[in-house]
Amino acid sequence: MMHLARLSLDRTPPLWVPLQFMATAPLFAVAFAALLAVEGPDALLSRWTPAMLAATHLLVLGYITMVMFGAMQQLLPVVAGSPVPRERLTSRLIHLGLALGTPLLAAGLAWSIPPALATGGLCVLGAMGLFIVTTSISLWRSPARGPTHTALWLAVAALAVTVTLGAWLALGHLPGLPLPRSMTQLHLAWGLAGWIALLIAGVAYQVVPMFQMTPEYPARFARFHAPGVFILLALVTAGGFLPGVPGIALQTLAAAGLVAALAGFAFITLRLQARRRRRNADVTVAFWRTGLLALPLALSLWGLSALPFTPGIQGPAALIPAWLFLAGFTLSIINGMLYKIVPFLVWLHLNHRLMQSGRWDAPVPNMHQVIPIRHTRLQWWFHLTALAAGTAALLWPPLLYPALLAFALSNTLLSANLWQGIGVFRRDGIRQD
Amino acid sequence: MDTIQGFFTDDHRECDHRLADVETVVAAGDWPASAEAYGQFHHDIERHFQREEDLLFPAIEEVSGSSQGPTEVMRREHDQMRALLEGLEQALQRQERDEALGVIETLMTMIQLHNVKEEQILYPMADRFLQPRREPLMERVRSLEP
Repeated sequence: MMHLARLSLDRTPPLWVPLQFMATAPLFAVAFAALLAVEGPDALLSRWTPAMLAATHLLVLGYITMVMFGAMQQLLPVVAGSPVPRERLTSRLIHLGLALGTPLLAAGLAWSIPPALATGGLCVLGAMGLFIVTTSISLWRSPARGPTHTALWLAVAALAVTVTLGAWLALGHLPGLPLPRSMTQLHLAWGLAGWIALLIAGVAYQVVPMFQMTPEYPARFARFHAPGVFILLALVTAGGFLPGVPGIALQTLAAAGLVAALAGFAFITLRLQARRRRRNADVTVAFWRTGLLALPLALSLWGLSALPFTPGIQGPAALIPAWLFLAGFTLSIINGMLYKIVPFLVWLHLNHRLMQSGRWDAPVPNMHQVIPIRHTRLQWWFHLTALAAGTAALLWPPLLYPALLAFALSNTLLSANLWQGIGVFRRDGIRQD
Repeated sequence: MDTIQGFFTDDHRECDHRLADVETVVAAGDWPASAEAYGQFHHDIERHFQREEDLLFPAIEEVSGSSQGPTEVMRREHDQMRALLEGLEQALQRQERDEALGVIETLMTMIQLHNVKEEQILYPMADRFLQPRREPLMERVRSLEP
């Protein structure tokens, strides 16, 4: 019986624990734009150009993984009822490793500076390792069960595979070591379809019905989607190690299965959202829809380009599926979620301070007062513009500079909106002390 | 026979839907309908709070031997929600659309996160620990009116 009495349902970490990640992230999107602007349209010639490798890592590590780490620090104690061990120390170290390691790694990749690559790589590796270990402990201890819990586990496992392959690939960029380029496809598959897409799916099972008041995900889909994706990833990997036709056949079939599973997630979520009970226009829903439309678009373009009887797409246009997956699908959903998470956390922590000081009567700004909704809507338009301009620039490279400018502006505005929220906390928090 | 989990989860969804109804009419600027929808929502959520605070939580506290555990946190969150309800009522009386929508958004988020904790952790445990006395307890829960 002791168990019930000790069970804590009030384990929100300090505000700065998740916010340090979320406030840093948009700056890396600006760094992504700056790097590509410095390197110019030649960077777009293939995904193998040093500048493109560097820019991609600024985005996936500095922005996407950064926010996801911050969100997990908040999600695990609150939703899974199980805090990350030593959350203050581990979150500081993880944030530091990622925030310092990512630019070093990118500089090392872009300009072939082995010491920067090695130092940055080690920092990132340390941050990842610490995240994987502490998150696994937290998930292990959690009393929560169900599709979200499973998807989070599998996402973390996929991250571990991605990081291992990434470290192996990074070694190949150091002098005298072979570059196992065949591993790149697997590194990408585990990172995009495993870590990113499974984490988003796991969170979606929970937050889409909850915040948008839609029907629940079909039980069987929620139960089998994440394990299915994980098994397909394992089959894609196995196919890579099988020689000859059986290997290629297995890889092709498993890849087709992955495309179908991810597209299925997008369509089911869009259908649920079309049936939502909350009819009020909400900018977070607009971001979700943008992302869920970009995902099948990215998948079908990638699938078309991979078909044996189509002429392979060459040059910058070959990057369109990746741009739509990362900026279109992932960034849209993250961006929308930030507008739910940050204003609510600011409100929650202001409220806690009030209660601690025993003052129930003082007004606490509501979520729309923390970050004004017209600012978030404006930023959504900037984001859409940047998405369209980025896609257009990959078809017609002279558009690169305006597209990068739009992307940088959108993320500067996102950053300003988040800092406005943090400013409200500082101002009102101090006033209440 | 109702489980605690089943009954209270359904009660949550009912209240959620009532609040979504309030949001729809407030967004449309229909003040008479807003007052009516708010009245319905307020009645339902207050009944839900009392079902927990007066019946379910004391039963949990009795078997766990402590009122300092999770039920105390849940009571505190109810009070936070009541403060938001008051803010919403005032905004509706003053017919301040933007403020009312901001409070609704905050209240909605607060309610959802509170519900997750109850539905995923507290109710399943309550079902397990209160099983022998569940039927008479649920009888009283169902008939409670504020």
